[in-house]
Amino acid sequence: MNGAEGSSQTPIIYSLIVENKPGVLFRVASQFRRRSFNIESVAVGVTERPDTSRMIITMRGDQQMAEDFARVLRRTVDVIDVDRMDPGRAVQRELALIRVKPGGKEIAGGVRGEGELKILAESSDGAIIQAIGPPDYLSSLVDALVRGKVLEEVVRTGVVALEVR
Amino acid sequence: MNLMSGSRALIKALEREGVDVVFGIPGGAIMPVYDELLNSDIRHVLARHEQSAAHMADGYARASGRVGVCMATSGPGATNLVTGVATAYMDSTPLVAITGQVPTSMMARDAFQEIDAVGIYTHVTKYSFQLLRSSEVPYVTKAAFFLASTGRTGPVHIDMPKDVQTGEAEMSFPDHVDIRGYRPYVPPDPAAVARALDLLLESERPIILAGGGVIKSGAHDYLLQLAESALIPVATTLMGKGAVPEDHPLSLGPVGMHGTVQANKLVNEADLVLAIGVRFSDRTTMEVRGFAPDATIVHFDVDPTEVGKNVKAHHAVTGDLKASIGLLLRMFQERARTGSWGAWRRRVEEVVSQWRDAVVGVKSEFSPPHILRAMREILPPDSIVTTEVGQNQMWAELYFKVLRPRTFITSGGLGTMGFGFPAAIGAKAARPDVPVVDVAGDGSFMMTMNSLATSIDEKLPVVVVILNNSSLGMVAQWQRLFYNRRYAATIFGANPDFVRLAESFGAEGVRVYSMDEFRNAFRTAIRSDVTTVIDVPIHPEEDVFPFVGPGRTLNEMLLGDGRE
Repeated sequence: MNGAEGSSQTPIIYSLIVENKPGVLFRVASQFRRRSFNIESVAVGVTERPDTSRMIITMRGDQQMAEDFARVLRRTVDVIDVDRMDPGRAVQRELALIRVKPGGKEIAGGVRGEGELKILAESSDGAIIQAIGPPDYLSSLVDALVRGKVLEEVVRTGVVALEVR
Repeated sequence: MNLMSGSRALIKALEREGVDVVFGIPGGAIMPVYDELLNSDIRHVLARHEQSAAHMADGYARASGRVGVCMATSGPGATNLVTGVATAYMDSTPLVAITGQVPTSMMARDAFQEIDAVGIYTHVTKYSFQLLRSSEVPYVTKAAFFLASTGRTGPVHIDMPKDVQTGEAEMSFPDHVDIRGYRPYVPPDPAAVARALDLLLESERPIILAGGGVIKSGAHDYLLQLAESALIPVATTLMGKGAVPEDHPLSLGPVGMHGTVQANKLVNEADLVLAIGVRFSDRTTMEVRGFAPDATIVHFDVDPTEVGKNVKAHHAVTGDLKASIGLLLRMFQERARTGSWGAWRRRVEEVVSQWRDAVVGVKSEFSPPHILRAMREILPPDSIVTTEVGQNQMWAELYFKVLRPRTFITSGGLGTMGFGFPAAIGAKAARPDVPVVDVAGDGSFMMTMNSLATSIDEKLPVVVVILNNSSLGMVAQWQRLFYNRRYAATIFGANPDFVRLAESFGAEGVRVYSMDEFRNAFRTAIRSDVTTVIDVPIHPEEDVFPFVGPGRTLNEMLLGDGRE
């Protein structure tokens, strides 16, 4: 059972409610590591309750494996709840900060997609752009900036998601 | 203010859990706890290696059904203990393992005898706690016993820095704990149990496959009643040995790589496998595509992650096995007085009568199968047998009929050599009233034989029967069968004289050369008040049969006499 291989690779989004205390990310990540699952993105933050955190973890794999693995996550003692989101029904957003050379701003503005750009800092050396949007949009943006040879560095938060009711 | 040290709180918490014995070895980072043990009635059994301490606690837990407790110091104490804790984890034994740790101020500074114990133990326990404040001791200890003993049972680790042991705090001891992410009490869904019964009643060739979960959950009485009411044959896994009495007419014995002919054959002929408390280990199923190929698999287990992990279940019931099998039995009794499996029963009887008493592939009349059968004849039914790992274990699996639950103790999942002897000592601490015998090989015994000192010191007499082929026999068997008899590192040049070795520890030692000598020595040994080592020199090329080779299916058994 290896999520990184196989033919039926579809996006998987887990939403976990976990204890907000040391060692929890280690315990959750260990379960992925043991199965050689490659986490594409992980975002962790405190929830409306200060003693719990939410983790949004995305990866690719087949659906049966994803369901079996959800049971493994549920069994993990510090994991309070596990929800496997339907990517088709989940609103997904990610934030990126991108340092670009002069000309980067213009290239970024030309990338089409459901996202928002904001210039956070600017000088004659270039700019820092904030980009918010679905992960696909951010990837297109980064690709375009690389192709235009204006990308200096990028930092992405990882995907956060909520399912539409 | 009623201040109490962390160590005192730990010992008090252990007392509140009803702990009567802990197995361990002291060291610098756990001295405050050991000092506090002197003020308690809790018995401490001093091991001679931490691995053995964990195996002792494991044997104690499996024999008694209670939580075993072991203790070690930080660093090498903690790492030595790991193999024993991992052994317990693979076989779901409830254990609480306590390790000392350097003071919190020294942690992550590569202090003397410091190791990241939580980092290691997380992977081989249900949970690994690190105490950071003395005041946490009562809650964490309670939580550790709760986690270890409920749901799918297993080991839990507590890492206790030295300043947490010495530090004083106001202590409050909870009567119960609530862990949000842990909900062990899952009642079975009656509709799912009813569906399982439908499938059973629709089947024509049903078989029960009982695993270790049946014994751990105490579901064995219900299971036997179900088998007897419905007249369904019962095969087991290695861990399920003892779930039903193996001298029962419906018992087929274990399935697997070294399963009985009747169990392996009939599981593969079945059209329904009622799998109860099993995890479908690869040593049980062998090549999965050939496992019960025509059968509907109905899987009962307490652990939802077991469903579909190794073998796809057509229907599953998750939840406590005692509750779910009890419900299945009641529903069966309401719906059908007997099963209607006449043709299948005749087939079962035919296969069982042909193979039940078969001994295959032996070199002489003084071969391990004969030794194991003689042991069964001599031992009272409630005697406890542990095994080492390798050929000795598989001979015991095949030829020693287990009559009661919790009387057969073996390292099934991890296959830890050196397990049997310390586990026997732990079992004896739990059940001083019954004979305890370790079925050993010379290779395994040499891994933990220093536990002789513990058994003498602590007056925990057991019997060790060494099936001595002066080699690492199971590996040598594979080399004979699959590696063209090339014996890479399996033949011992210089074995000790086990008789004199035993005597040097103050134990009895005896060597036997015939069945009569064995019977006499064994009868004396099980009544002796000191540990006895019986050295049984066997033919060095004695192999275990039946044998399903790696990658083969259960119906491809080698019988050792050219038959397949």
